Amino acid sequence: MNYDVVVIGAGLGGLMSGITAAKEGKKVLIVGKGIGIITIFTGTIDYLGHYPPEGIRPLDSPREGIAELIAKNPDHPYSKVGMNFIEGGVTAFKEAAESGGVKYVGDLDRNFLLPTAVGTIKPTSLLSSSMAAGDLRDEGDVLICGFQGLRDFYPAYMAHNISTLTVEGVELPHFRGRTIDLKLGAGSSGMTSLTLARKFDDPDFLEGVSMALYENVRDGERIATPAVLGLRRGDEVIKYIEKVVKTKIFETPTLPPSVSGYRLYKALEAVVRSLGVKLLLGYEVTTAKVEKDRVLEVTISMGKREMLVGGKAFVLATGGLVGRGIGSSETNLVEPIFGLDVTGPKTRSEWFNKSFFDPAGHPINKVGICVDENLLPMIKNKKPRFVNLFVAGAQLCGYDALKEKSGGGVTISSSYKAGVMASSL
Amino acid sequence: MRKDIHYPADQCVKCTICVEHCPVVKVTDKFLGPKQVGPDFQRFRSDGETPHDISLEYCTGCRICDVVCPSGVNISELNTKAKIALKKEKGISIRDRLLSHAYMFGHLGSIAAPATNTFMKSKALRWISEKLLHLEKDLRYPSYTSEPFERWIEKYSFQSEKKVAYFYGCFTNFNDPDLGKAVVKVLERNGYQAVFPKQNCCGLPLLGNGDIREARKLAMENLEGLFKAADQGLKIIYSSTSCGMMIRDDYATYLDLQEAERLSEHLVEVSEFLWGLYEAGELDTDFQEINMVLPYHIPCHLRSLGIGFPSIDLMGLVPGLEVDELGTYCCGLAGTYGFKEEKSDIANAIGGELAELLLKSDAEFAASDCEACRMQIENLSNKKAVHPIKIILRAYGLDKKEDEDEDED
Repeated sequence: MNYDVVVIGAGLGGLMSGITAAKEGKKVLIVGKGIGIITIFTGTIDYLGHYPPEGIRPLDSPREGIAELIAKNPDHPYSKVGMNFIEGGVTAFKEAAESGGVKYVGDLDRNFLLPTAVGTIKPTSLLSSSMAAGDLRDEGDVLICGFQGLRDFYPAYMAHNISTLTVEGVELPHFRGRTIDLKLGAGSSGMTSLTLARKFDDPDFLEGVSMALYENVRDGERIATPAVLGLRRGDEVIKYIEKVVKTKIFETPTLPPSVSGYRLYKALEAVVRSLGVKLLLGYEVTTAKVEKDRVLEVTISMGKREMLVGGKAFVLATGGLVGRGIGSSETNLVEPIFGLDVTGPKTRSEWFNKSFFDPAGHPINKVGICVDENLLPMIKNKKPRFVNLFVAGAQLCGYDALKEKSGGGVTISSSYKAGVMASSL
Repeated sequence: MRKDIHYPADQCVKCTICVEHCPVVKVTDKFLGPKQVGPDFQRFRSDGETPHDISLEYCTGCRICDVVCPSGVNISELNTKAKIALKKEKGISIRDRLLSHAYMFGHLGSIAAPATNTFMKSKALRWISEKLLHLEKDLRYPSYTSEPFERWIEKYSFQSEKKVAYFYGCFTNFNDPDLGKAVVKVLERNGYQAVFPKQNCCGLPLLGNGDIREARKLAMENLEGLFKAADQGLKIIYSSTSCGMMIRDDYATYLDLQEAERLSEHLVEVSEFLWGLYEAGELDTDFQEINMVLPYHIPCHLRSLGIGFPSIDLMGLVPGLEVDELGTYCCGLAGTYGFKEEKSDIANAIGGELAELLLKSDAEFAASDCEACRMQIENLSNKKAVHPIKIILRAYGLDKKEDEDEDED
C-alpha cells in the first residue's frame, strides 16, 4: 500500500504531523504501537517554563525566552524548527483541538501559572479553556474541592504545599481545601478520575455537585476541582456549574488516568478521522527498506505477518527513551527502526549526575536524534542520513524538557514542521 | 523469567491507558480493569497460586488493551490465561457449556429450522433459559436456517484455475448462509473459485468460556482441513474476523497448537484479499452506485488482527457510498458474554454509545465484519446489520439475482 506521508507514532506528535499533512491534501497513514502518553499527560502544552533552565522563577513570556534560546543555542530543537513554524504550530494545534471539541486558550506571550495536584506551580502556555481561570496571578482566593472516593487528589495536601511557595513579584492567593462527600459509594480501592468524569455527563449528577459546591464556596473565592468535569459535553459542564456557584471554576489535572489528556486524545482522534487519515493502532513498525538516502518502505508487523507500506515521505515520532522511540541497553542507545545516530551518553554509568537535584539536570534527559534545520536526521551531525524522513517530538536531541518545561511545545512545533516538510516532497 | 508466562508483564509501566480504554471498566466497577487483573496480579501468580479474582469473569476478551498499550504488554493474553485457570479451578457451568456449544445446535436447529425458531422465540424456552440457565431473557437469539451453507455448496458449480479456500465458520453455516453465498459470488466475479476445506466451529466460544479441552478438539479437526489447503498453496479466506483471529493467533497461544502458526501466511480476511486484488489492478471495479451514508462499526477482533480496516477501503470504491466509521470500540455483545443474565446489562451499557450513534443515523442498515457485532447492532437499534461483502455484492448488482434464484427454488 502506498501513501504520500507515513507517520510512525500515534502520540501527540504523530497525530499533529498526520493532521498537518492531511490538511495539506496528502494521503496519510499514522501507525502506532500504542497511543503514547497523550491520554495520561495533563493536556497542557508547555512551551518554555524556565530559561535559562537553571532559572528558579518561571518565565513570563515564552516568546522572549524562545527568541533568546534560539540566539544562544543553535542545537536546540526550537532553533531547528524556527520561530515561524513554532507560531504556525500553536495556531494549527489550537485549531485542531477546537475542531475536535476541546477549546484551547493561551499563546506564546504569556505563561499561565497553574497550581498542580501536588501543590507545585506549573508554568504553561496552552491549556484547555476549563483550566484558564486557574492562573495564580488572577484575582480571587481558591477553594480546592476534592470528592470523597476519588483516588489521588487531596485538597488539603495541595493547599498546604502551595502555601509554602513564593513566586518573585507575584502575590499568591490563599488556598483552602475541602473534600465533598457525594455519596458515590466508591469501592474500597476508590474511583479513578475517568470514572468520576463520566458521571459529570449526567445532568442530575451535575446538578447535585453544583449545589454542593455552591454551599461550600465563600465570597471572593474561585473553585479548583480535579479535572473530572465531564468527558463528552465540553464547556457545557463548567458553564453550568459557574451559573450555579456564581464564581469562576477551573480544573486541575490529576495523576493518570488523566481526563484532560484523554479529552485531547479523543479530540485529535476525531480530527484524524474526519480528515480521512488512516490510523492503525497496535501495530509496530519494525524495519525499513532504504535505497541510499531515501526511505522507500517500512515494514509493519501485523500479528504473525508483515505488511510493507510505501511512502513519499515519512515522519518518525515514536517518542524518546521512555516512549521507546529510543531503545537502550547497558552500553548503547539505538533508534530501532532506521538505525539513526543517537546522540547522548552510551553507557548507563554516564546517564546521571551524582545529585538527583543537580541544577544542570542529567545527561540522559537530553539524548536523542540530532537533526538539521529541515528536521532530517543527521549522520554524526554533518549531513542528513535520509532526505525523506523527518524526525519530531521527544526523540529530538539537545534539550531537556524536564528542566526547561518545554516538552509539549517542542513536540507540537517539530511535528507541525515535520508535517509541512513531509507534504512538500 | 518463566517460560510459560510471557515476560511483558514486567514491561507494564502502570500508565493506565488500557484502563482508560477498557469498555467494561467504563460501565461497571465489577471488573477491576485490564491492568489490575493482568500485569498487576500476574506478579502474584505462580504454579501454586491460582487467580482467585472473580472479577476476571467480566473481561469481554475484546483485546483493546493490547491495541492501545504503548509498552507492548500482552494484557489480554495474561487475562485469558488466568481466566482459563480460574475455570479449571471452579469448573464451567451448564449454561456456559451450552452457550459455547452453539455450533452443535446448528446441526440440530437446521434440521427442523421452523420448529426450532418457533421454540427459540417461545415463552417456554424463555422461561427455561432465564430461570434455569440464567440467560438474558430479552436478547434476540440468532435464528437458524433450513439450508445450511454447507448444503448450498454441494450445488456450487463455478470452476476456475484460480482457487481460494474459504473458512466460513459455523455462524455463516447455520445462521447466515447468505453471507457465505455473497463471499463465493464476489470471489467468482473476480475469477476465483472457492473451495471448502473440511471444517467445524473455530472454537472461540469454547475458549471464551474457558473450555480448553473442547476447543482444542475442534481446532485439531479444523487444522487437518486447513493444512491440506495450505499445502496446496491456497490462500485461506475467512469472513468472520473472530474465526480468523482464533485460528491465526489463539490456536497457538492458548491451545498449545504451535503448528497452527504456519497458517498465518495463508489466512486472509475476505476484504483484505479483495483489496489486495485492487492494489494489483485485478479487482473488478464495475460497481453500481449505492447512494447512502453507511454506518460502519469496527469489530474488536478486526482491530486485534492487525490487518488494518480493509472493508472500509473496499467499500470506499463503491460510487455514491460514504462509509461512516463510527469510531466505536466494542459493541458489548462479545460472543456469548451478552447472552448471560448477569452480564447483559453491562453488555448493553457498553454498546450504549454505538446504539446512540445508530439511532441518530438515517440509514436503514449498518455494516460490520463480525457476526456478534451485527447481532448486537440489531439488538440495540432498529437497523439491520450486514457484512461489508454483502454491500459489495449489491454494488456488483448480484444481490438481485440471488433473490431470483431463491424464487426459482
